[in-house]
Amino acid sequence: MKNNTIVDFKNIFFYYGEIPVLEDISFSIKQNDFIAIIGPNGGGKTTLLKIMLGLLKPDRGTVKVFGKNPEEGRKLAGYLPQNIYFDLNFPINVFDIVIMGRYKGLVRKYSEKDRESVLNALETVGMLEYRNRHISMLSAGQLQRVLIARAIAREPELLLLDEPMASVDPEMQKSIYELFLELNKKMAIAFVTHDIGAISIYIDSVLCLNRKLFYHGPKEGSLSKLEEAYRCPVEILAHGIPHRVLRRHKK
Amino acid sequence: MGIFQYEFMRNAIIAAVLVNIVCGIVGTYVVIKKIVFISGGISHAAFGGIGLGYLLGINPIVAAIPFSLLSAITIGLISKRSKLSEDSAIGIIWAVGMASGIIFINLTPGYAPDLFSYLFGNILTIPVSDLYIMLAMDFIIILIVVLFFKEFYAVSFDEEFSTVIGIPNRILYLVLLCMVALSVVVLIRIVGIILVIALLTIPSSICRQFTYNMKKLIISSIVTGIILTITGLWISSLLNLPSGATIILLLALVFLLSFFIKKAVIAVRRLKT
Ligand SMILES: Nc1ncnc2c1ncn2[C@@H]1O[C@H](COP(=O)(O)OP(=O)(O)OP(=O)(O)O)[C@@H](O)[C@H]1O
Ligand SMILES: [Mg+2]
Repeated sequence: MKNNTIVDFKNIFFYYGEIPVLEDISFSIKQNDFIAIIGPNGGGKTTLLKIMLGLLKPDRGTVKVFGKNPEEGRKLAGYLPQNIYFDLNFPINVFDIVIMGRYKGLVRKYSEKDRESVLNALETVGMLEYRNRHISMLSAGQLQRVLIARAIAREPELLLLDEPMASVDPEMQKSIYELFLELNKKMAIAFVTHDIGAISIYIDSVLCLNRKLFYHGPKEGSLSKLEEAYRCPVEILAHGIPHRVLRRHKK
Repeated sequence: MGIFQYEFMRNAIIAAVLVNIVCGIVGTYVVIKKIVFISGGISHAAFGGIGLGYLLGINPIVAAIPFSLLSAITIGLISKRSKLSEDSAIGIIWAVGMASGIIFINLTPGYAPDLFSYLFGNILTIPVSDLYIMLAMDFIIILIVVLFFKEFYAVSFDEEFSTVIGIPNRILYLVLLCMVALSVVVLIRIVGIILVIALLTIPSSICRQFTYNMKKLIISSIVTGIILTITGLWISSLLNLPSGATIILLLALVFLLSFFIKKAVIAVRRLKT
């Protein structure tokens, strides 16, 4: 039972200075979970992912990732950040960015297999022909796809994506969601999204966050909690889709 | 070019090569990681070490090594750990290093010979012993960068992602600052404390306009630095000008020209397509 728990949060509190951002959050992510993390802007979604990755330390509570501290456990994770802090003039091309996802340890050289995985990842996000492009010569959506490729090239056991579909066109979104479904057979995936319509189609469980954890469970039960978290009717959130989709599968 | 027969000229040219190997490597990281100001702080703080060398009666360059390593580590720790903003920390260390240098020299009995050459450099008066120090620095820096090329590259590009995938970026950052400190020490003889930062950063700034490949960038920066340093040296001896300042002005001039060259290159490429 303990074995298939990948991420375990117990009573996590997090403050930025005196501002509470997360309060008493407990939940776990299990093997083969495919979870959408939703909630309003400033709800703490990015903070939650950063705590999972050991980039931020909770003020109270315990986090375990693969049964270890996040600093250890995160090595098995792939990550797509929401904000990028790097310099677009940095001397690096698409291939060299993605191969960083294959990093395994000090002094180890990248192997032929690493190169292959990079090319595969680029292929799946439709960026293979851009592999020699410098990053300053990509559109925002193309860059986002490259960063998705960097996360999946790692072949992680836990894939964490912070708004992966930002700037991605609808057709590519569809194929990336399908890719996630495929990858989900081998790894747990948690991603932040505001696209409630997509949740209805692809995802089985939802984690709804607005400082407190409002809901974590199958998407079908999430409707009223969602409204509570967002403080507005879900029709507005999902342009009228949810009645059909969020409830349809109710058993 | 009869001047190149003299021994001091030969030493100067060897120094130009050795020093620009360091500059091309470390300077490239300084430029792409945008730590030019930090490097400026470290180089000025090294003056404290020079002063200490005078006071203790040892080779000021040797005394400057631990001193600038210490200031590099201090800047690195302060800037990452505390709320004290990074540029204030740099400014303080910068001034403290200079001030302690002045005090040390003041305490030194008698007159401080060729102090001026540490401030503004003189590539023509480099003793052979300093060439050995430069050689050792080259060796250390090349070894570190070759061993950890992947890691430095990843950390310079995206610190957050590097942290997640398990690269010890704090330590690497400190190692990088220490390499800056070591480069500063070997550069002091050539262009002096005040001009170090130019020789460290201008060759890479010129070359980065023409390549996006990190290894090519490093190598082309080394070559550019060597050519411009030797050319500057030659011009300075022709016109009887101070060598350090001449080298820097030549670098700056070529940097300016490189913008136009870049434009021309783009125009030519457009015509082709
Ligand atoms: N560096 C920071 N310093 C202080 N407060 C911060 C910082 N980063 C975030 N916050 C605050 O923490 C809260 C949660 O931020 P977080 O980025 O986790 O939200 P989010 O759910 O990811 O929002 P979004 O949907 O806009 O991405 C916000 O109220 C924000 O104001
Ligand atoms: Mg966010």
